[in-house]
Amino acid sequence: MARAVLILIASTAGTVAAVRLLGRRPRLAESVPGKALAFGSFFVLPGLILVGGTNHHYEQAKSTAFCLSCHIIEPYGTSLLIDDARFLPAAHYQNRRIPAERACYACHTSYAMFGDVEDKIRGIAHVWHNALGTASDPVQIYQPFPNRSCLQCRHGARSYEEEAAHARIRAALLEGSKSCIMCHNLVHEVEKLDRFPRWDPEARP
Amino acid sequence: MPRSGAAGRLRLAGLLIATGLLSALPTLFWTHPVSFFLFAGACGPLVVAGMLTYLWSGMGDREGPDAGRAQTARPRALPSSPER
Repeated sequence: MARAVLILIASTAGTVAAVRLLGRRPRLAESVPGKALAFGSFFVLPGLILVGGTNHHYEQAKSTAFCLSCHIIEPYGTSLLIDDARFLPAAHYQNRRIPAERACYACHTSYAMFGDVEDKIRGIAHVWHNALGTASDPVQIYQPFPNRSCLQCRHGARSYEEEAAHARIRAALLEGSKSCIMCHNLVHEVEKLDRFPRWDPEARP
Repeated sequence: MPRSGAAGRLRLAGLLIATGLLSALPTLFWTHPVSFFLFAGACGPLVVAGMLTYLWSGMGDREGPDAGRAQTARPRALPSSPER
């Protein structure tokens, strides 16, 4: 990520320098090398920088820090630090079953062909509601949490497959007629955060 | 000195692109939804406007006293076909 940003900065600096030169001395753009420089610096490089910048923002939008930068989501970030293994998000986050830097995105995105795009469009709507103050508090998910989000990692895993409780309802879990959340029902619980101790990632024995 | 024609448009394109790119840089370091909105809503359109202005300046090269000559010049007469 840092390398991509450096490339973007270097490209921007090069483009701005060339654009400034050609803007001040337009006659330079009349020769063939000048035309090539103008085409590169006024069209090709800015286009590439825009694509790279969009990609950077797109990737940044998947980060935990991005999600938690909205005030309304802060308690959900705090819930990842509950010191109680029964809490599903906390257990996943603290044991690195999901990438810590993409904790929200790992579970709250649709893993289909256009899942990312759908989530980004919804994200724009979230920002809109947050700015207007019309967002629901606590926030609500759009639909019942899909088993697919759990099974994309757990399906086939030994710890999941060899668990007797899972074996009995495996088919129902796969087809979605029974939800994982029916049993693993301690999720973010943001209203009860004060009742539970917190894990301090820095306090290592 | 008035800046008109292709040169003026090239300068305008340069100004738009440089402004768009320089204002896009800070957004790369700010992890916040507003940063994306600034990038997509302000910086991106400025750069795209600059790119389009550059293309427009290229088309403007034909302006001037000789503009349109190619379109208005009478076509050369075709060689007459041999008589049969």
